Amino acid sequence: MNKRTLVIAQTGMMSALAVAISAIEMLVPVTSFLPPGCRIGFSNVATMLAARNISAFSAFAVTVVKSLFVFATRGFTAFLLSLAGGVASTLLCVMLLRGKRKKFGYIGVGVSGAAAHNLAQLAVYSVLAGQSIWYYAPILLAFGTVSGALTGVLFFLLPQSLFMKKE
Amino acid sequence: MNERMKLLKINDIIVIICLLLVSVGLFLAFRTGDESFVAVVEKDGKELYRIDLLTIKKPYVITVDGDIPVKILVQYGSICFSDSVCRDRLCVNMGALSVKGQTAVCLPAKVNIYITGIGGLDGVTG
Repeated sequence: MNKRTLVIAQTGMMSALAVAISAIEMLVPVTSFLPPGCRIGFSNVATMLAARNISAFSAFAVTVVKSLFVFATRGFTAFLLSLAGGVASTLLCVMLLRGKRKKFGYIGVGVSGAAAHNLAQLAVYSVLAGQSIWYYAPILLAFGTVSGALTGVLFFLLPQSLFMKKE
Repeated sequence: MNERMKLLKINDIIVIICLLLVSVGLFLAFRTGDESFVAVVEKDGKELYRIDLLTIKKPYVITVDGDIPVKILVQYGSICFSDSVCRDRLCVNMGALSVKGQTAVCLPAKVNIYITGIGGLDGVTG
């Protein structure tokens, strides 16, 4: 198969996966027993898959598509927050997953990605709302560590055979 | 893949411990800095009183004079309009403010009371 076609098709699949996971996460009322603003962020798995198995560009494409979905369903503010968090965490995941030396395991990548996501969102929120909500950072960071570890484990468990080898 | 990735490496544990330490540290830092529970009384947008509601031992009443005088009852942990000579008395019916970010307004008297700080979050993430 044409390599370009394969990349586009796989990126599309991963974008669809990310959107589907984040849509399901929106439907499940986890917020009733989690602190406000916290979600597991399993859709990060799709970005991590794209980063590891396709390309860095593909991972960013998945992030942007996911944020556009947020824009369509939840408005501009949510879009900016989602994009900021997504780009920050994707940047970190890409560096950790595509770097020559694998210094971190899957759990480490998931946890760092979640932390980058939360910190970027807090920064953007502070600018948008004109007031600092950094007092909320500890809750988000602590929760992000747990949810990031979960995401990492899920990523580890996914079979490598999801992707065709690029010949 | 140059090298197969493991599920958990020693670096991961270091990152996790650092993040948890940072969040505990931040939590303690914000906690001690945010112990006050301050109510502000304004008339015509000008601040008249600033009261720390956690230092009130005995309840007392403030009278704000003007065309329409209002009485404000100050208690430990809460503040409310207790009396107003205006017709609608909406401000009195608002009840006591006891949560950060709550406000009550008496429009005819142009008196506004609120508790400083930010209340509950409406989180938007994703």
